[in-house]
Amino acid sequence: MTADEKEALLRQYAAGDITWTSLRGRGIDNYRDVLAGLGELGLRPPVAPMEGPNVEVRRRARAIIRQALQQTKPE
Amino acid sequence: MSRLGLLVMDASPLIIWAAADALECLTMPGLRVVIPDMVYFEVTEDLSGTGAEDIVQWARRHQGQVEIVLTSVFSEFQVIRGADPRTRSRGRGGLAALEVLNAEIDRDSELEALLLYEDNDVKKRRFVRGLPERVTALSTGDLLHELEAAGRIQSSDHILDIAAEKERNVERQRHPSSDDAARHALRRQLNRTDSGGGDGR
Repeated sequence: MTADEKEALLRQYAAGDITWTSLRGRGIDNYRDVLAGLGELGLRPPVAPMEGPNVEVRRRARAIIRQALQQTKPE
Repeated sequence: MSRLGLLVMDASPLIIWAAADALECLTMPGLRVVIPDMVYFEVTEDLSGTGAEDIVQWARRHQGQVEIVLTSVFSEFQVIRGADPRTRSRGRGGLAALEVLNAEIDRDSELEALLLYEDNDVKKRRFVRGLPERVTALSTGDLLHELEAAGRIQSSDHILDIAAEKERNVERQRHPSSDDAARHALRRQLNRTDSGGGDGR
């Protein structure tokens, strides 16, 4: 893979267009390389917006986390 | 109904938290954090990797809350690697996590668990079909947003930025970049020019 190809893939990844699984399938198989590449390009790891096929389960998971954080709230 | 806690489905979330020096965020909700042995191996295989040693120390510090779970996937990987040391783990972390999940569901069909995925995977892949109702999924970003909303961290973006910057710096130290190569080339060129000027040509 050329440096240009890698950069293009990382930009697509940061934009949320391709998944980590698909990056791995294309030969970037260490997530530390992904992070380093993003840092080199001045990008950060993607954060998934609340959309897509798993929105409902994500909402429920976040509610559980919210409740757990309330219970462990520091004094 | 039993509660599995937070099951780490892949190495990437752990690598991000460790690179950002924010592993404590994972244990903040007080839930059990379950890491399949294959995933743990992927993040600690190279102890010189960013945060690898931190993950070992963090798991040790939270013994009881953070649990490394044995899987057949990892056992098989070790056998294969014994025969060919060049074998890469490639996606086996996810398989090991599914093995842990399936074993827990077999034991208790009403299991409650949160599966921690990488963000783009959680956005695009439809993996929750057929899972028990109480098995839910979230991403590193989801967890960061909840921590931020609860006032437990200052900024999600800041943590993600630190992770990328730190890994970039480590990579630059490991492999002197093209910038360094360019600087050396320029220095050589300048030295040649100096020499040329010195002999009056």
